Amino acid sequence: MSLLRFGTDPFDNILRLQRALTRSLEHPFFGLGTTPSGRGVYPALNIFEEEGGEAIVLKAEVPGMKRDSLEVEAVGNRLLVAGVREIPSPEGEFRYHRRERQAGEFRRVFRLPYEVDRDKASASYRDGILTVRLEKAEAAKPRQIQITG
Amino acid sequence: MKQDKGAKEETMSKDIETTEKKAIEKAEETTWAGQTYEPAVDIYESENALVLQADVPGVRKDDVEINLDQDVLTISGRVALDTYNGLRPVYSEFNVGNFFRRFSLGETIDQAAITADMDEGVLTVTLPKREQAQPRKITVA
Repeated sequence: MSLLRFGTDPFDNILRLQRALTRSLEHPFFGLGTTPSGRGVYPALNIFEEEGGEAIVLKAEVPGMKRDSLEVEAVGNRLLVAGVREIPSPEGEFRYHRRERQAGEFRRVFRLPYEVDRDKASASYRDGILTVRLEKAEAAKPRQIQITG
Repeated sequence: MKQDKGAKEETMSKDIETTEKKAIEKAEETTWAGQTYEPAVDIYESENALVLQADVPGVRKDDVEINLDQDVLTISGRVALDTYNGLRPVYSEFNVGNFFRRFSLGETIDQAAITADMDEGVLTVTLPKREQAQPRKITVA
C-alpha cells in the first residue's frame, strides 16, 4: 500500500485517505479479521507506518480529554492506552434534550507485531486526536544481510 | 503455548465503548466528497440559553461552520488531513471524515449573541434565548 501524499485539492485528499483506510480495514498486517466498524473496545485505533518502515504511528479519536488524564505506555510489543473522560454537568439549572456523548474510563492494551524502542516512543494530543509514534526496536528493524559464502 | 496471532486484545475493562461512527447516507446533505459523519451531540437547556456540545475529533477551530437559518441549526467541521501526510495505513478500525449535523430548534434564539468554542475536538455552541416579550399591561382609560 502506498504512502499518503496529499495535494492541494481537499476533495481529493479526503477521498484518498478514506479509500486507503477502507483498504487497510482488512489488511493482514496484524493478522486480524476485524470488522470495519471498530465497535467495541475504546478507543478505536488506526495504525500507520512511516516511510521506510522504521516507525509506526497510531491514531485514536478521543475527544474532550485532558492531557494528564491520558495514559500511554509502551513496553516491549505492548501498547497501553488508558484514560478517563469527564463530561462535567452544567452549572445552575438545566435539562438535557439530548445526551449522546459518553463519559467514563477506558483501558486498552494492544499487542504490536514487533518490539518497540521505549526510549524513542512519543505521544501527542491535539484536536481530540491522540497520536503515538513508536520506533521499532533495533532487533526488529529490517536489515540487509551480506552473503558471505 | 499460545499462538501469537498478532495484534489482539489482552485485557479490557471499560466504561466507554467505541460505537460505530454514524455515516450520513443522504449525499445531498453536504457538498463534500467522501463519507461524512454525524457527531455525537449533547444539548441542554438552561434558563437563558441552549447549549450544544459535539464531539468532532480532528477538526480545528477554523474549520468549523455554524449556521442558524430560521430555527434550523447546522454545524459542520472539516477534519485536518495534514497529519496523515507521508503515512501508510496498515491497520484501521475506523474511517475518518468530515462532520455534519442539523437540528430544528424549538426555542427562539438571539442570533447575534451566539458564541462558539473549540477545545480538544469538542465544539461548544451557546445559543442564548431571545428575551420573551414582556407582558404589557393595558389600562383602560
